[in-house]
Amino acid sequence: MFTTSSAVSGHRSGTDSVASGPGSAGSRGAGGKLTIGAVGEVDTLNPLTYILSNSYALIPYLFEALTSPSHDSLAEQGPGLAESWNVAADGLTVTYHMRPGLKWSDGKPLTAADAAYTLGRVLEGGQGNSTWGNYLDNVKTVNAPDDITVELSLGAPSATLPKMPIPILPKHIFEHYPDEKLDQYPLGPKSLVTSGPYRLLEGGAGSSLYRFEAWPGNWRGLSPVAYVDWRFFKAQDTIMQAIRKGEIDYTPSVNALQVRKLKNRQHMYAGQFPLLGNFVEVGFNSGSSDLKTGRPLGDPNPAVLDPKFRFALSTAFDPAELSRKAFKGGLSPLRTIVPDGFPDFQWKPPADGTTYDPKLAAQRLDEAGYKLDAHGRRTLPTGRSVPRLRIAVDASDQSSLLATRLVREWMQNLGFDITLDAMTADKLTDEILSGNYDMFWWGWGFSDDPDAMLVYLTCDQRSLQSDSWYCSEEYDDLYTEQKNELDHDKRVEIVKKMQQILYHDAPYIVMGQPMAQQAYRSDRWTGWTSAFQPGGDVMADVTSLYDLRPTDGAAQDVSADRTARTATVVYRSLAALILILLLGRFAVARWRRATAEERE
Amino acid sequence: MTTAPAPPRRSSARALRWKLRREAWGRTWAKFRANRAGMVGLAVLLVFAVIAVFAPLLADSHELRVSAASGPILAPPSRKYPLGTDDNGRSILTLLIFGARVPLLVGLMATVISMVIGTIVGMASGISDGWAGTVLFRLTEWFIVIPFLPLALVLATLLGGSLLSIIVVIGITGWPATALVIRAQTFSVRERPFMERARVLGAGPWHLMSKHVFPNVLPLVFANTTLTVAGSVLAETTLSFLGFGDPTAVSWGTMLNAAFGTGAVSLGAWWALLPPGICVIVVVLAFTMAGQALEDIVNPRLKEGR
Amino acid sequence: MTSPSISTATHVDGLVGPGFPHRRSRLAGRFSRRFVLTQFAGSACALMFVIVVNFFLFRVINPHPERTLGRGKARTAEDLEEIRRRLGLDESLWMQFGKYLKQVFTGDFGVSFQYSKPVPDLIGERVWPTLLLVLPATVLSIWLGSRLGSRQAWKHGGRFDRSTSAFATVLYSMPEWWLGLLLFMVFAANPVFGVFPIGGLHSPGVAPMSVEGVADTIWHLVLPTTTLTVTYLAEYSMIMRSSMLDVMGEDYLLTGRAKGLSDRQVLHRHALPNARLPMTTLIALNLAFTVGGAITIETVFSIPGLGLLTSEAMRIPDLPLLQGLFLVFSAAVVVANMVANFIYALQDPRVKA
Repeated sequence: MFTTSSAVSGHRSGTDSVASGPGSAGSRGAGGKLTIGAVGEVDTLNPLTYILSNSYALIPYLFEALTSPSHDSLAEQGPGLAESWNVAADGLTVTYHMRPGLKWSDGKPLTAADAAYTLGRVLEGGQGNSTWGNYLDNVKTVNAPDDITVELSLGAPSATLPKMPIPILPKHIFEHYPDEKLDQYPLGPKSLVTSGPYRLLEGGAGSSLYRFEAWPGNWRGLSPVAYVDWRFFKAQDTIMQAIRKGEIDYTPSVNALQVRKLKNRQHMYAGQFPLLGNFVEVGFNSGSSDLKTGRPLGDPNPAVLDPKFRFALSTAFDPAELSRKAFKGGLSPLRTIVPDGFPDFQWKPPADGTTYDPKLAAQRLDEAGYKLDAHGRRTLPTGRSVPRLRIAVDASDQSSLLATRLVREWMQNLGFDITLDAMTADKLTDEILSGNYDMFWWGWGFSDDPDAMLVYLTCDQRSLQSDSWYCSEEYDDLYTEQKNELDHDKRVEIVKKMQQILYHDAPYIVMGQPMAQQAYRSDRWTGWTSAFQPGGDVMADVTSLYDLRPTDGAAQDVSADRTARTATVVYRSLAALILILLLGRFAVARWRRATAEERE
Repeated sequence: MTTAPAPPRRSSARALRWKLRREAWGRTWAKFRANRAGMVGLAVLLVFAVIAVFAPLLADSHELRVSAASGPILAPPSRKYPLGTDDNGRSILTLLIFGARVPLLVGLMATVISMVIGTIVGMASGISDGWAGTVLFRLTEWFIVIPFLPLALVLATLLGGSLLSIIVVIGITGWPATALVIRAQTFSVRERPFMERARVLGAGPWHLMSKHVFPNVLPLVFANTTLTVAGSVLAETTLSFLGFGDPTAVSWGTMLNAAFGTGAVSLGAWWALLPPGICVIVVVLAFTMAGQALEDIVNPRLKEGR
Repeated sequence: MTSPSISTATHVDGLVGPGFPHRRSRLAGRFSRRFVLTQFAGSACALMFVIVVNFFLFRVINPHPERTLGRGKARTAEDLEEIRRRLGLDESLWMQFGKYLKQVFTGDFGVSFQYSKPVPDLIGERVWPTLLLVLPATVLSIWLGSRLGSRQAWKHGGRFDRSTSAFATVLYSMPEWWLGLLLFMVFAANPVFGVFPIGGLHSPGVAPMSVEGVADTIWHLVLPTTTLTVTYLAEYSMIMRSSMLDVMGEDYLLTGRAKGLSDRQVLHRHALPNARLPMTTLIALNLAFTVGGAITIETVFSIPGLGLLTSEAMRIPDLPLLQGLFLVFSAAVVVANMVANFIYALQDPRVKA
């Protein structure tokens, strides 16, 4: 619709992390302001209740967590409020050692008690739990034996620990706001007590401008970027103009076409990089059923329930064409549900499964009993022709819509009758949960650990987060096995086996890894450093700001600014002049008219 | 002395009525032909109707397939693509030709819905003096109060983005204005002497409505229809532009939506914006001119006003 | 949006038509109690209707908002139940309706799903940009439109009339957002002519309340306001022209001329006040369409007003917020209609006031 948001639900991995900070603060108080432009809005800065990914990008400016993911790998984590941590050999106890002498922005000490309170509150349930609970899977209790130690005891090992990105909240404030009062929690710039490298100067829910000022009390020291403005735009078009005109220094919200246009400009870097924790897929209804009675639910097409049918389609869709047309070049190849962010866990499908080969797909369909009839339409193994298939998609996302159109055309080429149902994301969720669908196009985004995605294909997730109704005993057994496996290499083997099962059962046909685009200006700030990969995210999180330095060309910059400002002054005076002339003319006309009437 | 057998009376009355009606239409047509703006509008509409109906002959429908498109992406006009290409590498000219179908179809179908509802409600509320009329009138007023676009967006979300749902949405949000016009006309018809006569002769409300009111408001309904189509075409374009149309259908509105969505405005791709917009304007203008011409004929008092 | 047909406005409610010569001031200020009561009762009923429609419409759109909100986060059935409980969705529909009514009458419109902020606060913040956009555009287009229309009519058939009338008809057929896109492309996005800002209401780093800030905001509003003004102007000028032509056929203008008044005096004392009558009704009716214009223009120019808020809310869908917005839009139109009726009664002696 209005904004081309990423097709992926959940979070954007690019902005997902708080990196292992180079503790060095660089030239102290170097000052200057960095303006970031993004599309969308911030729903709330309350770390317990936020939903939108933009909020998730801003919250680490204000609230620190025990650990921060590294800029090297999605699977690792760096120090945060905790300097170090250790996991017991049996995996059932995790201990964090916090930095001594930490403070909140109101001067109160920030201790393990705050951390234990926050984690305890998330563990307890309520709103915090639905936002952050998955980081505390299997955790039984949280303790703070002293001011700088936090101890988690687990009932069973957890794959995501010791990663702990849950923002630690000031106990002395949050105590007064139980869940039912949480929406009264004051988020105003003056009242917000924070621990992050920045303080909020301006901005509230739904604002279009959030201003931050560097706060020296953070454990990293004072940021070299004294002020950061986050401007939220409503359309990508405006963002592109803003960066071209130098109104913003950095944006993660340009599209692939705009990147091409911006690339050749002076003082400008524009590029794209694969989102390391994301993929997009064609999903199938692989067996919706009422979990209580075990009876089929909804009205899936009999064909999609057949794993052979789904598997045959894995070479029917062309990832290159999808990338070129639907994503304007912004889709990198991926054929399994473990994306590039977790290279060691990634399973490589056989060569004949990675290329576009409609002939092979047709042949596999024939073999599975879906033969062409006299009218060129495919029949079910029973001989009846395949009823009309449906492919559903979130209507608000342009690339998803285009991708679905392409998939539909490829299905038609194979001899299927297929319609496209575009709907809102929540309608789509609804149809999936009620089983009234055959195929869909959607995506996932996750970080931290492949487990976060693997779990969604287990039987227990049906009617919850599973959008494929996939259920396989073999897969489930392997899932539990890898969850309890502490040896990394052994776990990798299990996870690869799970991907192999998924590849053949094909509840999803993974079509690729969406790319994120970014553009920044190099005339005011230098030192932009990519995270995770060459050409990668230069604004992975708040820590990235510590790499930036103001340019020497500031004087030149000012003069450029001055020309722009002079131009503005000229234009504005012109406009004012025209306005005055118009008003004057009007006044004269009035006066003339009045006198004319008197004269008569 | 022989006399020719007299023709049956009833059929003669009917024949007479038909003759009168034919003559009335003939007179209207003659008046319409004298109206230059109306004729221009009609001619333009005919051209677009021909384009819409014969689109498959004018352009290759295969070119509409995204997977088959081979052109450069968002390229300016060239010899091969006289109006440039869209963000999928399809020819804008082809899209433009096929894109005429949806707005015209939706415009006409939606208008039929709103005219039927509007005419019935309008006549009913105009003819009955009792509480029924008041209730209907109030209902119309309330519906007019509800802002069109938010309501249409909500309904479009509710019904899902298909052609049928867009038709229904525009149809059921567009009737109140018609109802008010028809109601006013019904009022003026009611005051005419023949109505009194019919009532005295014992005609029931249904008879009054179908035999006396309806034929007299019909010309106005017709003129109003033409104007309503203009509004419906605009509504379809706006809904599609905002992304609430049928995403699989090619229409001028979805072309503009795609252009806006991919940043054609900031990329300076005027060829993706101008042609569909101009087509919308021309069609709406044509309907408006034809409608106004009809209205002038039907309601001569307005004629001075144009 | 467009209003369905131009001519309808002159028929609405059978009220509008050429009047008798009068001066407004002489009649001002007297309404019968019955008139006032009817007006208020009618408006109250309309509002009530909107409130009821509001509730049921939005329940139907999205019966399971907790699923949307839970995607990617809620992982167990209990999580979903928790969200349902928090949103008050676990009660029966009628209970919810009762609660909703009570809330509406106590001015509590609930908390937005996506912004976790009270709806009135959100609307209160976002209403200003919309007003800044819509009010100047409405005032300007009425002023310019009626001037243009009366001038066309006064010299009707002349070259000025013919050219401007044709132009107005073209503008009237133009989707306002398309004009906005064109203006945006030429005067904001184009590297050469792009002198205007590219959207939003403020430049960064300019304090909104300073003199510079006000100038800056005005600068930002130039293109969107121009777009709306130009499209609305077309319609107002067409109405003004047609009602002016109606008035010009009336006898009292002849009488006026016979009394020896000049053309100008006849125009200003007799013709204009009467010709303005249909405009009053039209303006109120048009507000319903102005809301639509706000949605599209705010989308094109990224103005953070109620229109954009609506489309943001539509995406979730954020039921409490949508309900609140819908109520505000409808209430604005209801109140404007009522005000128009009063003004109309003031202007036209034939309406029993």
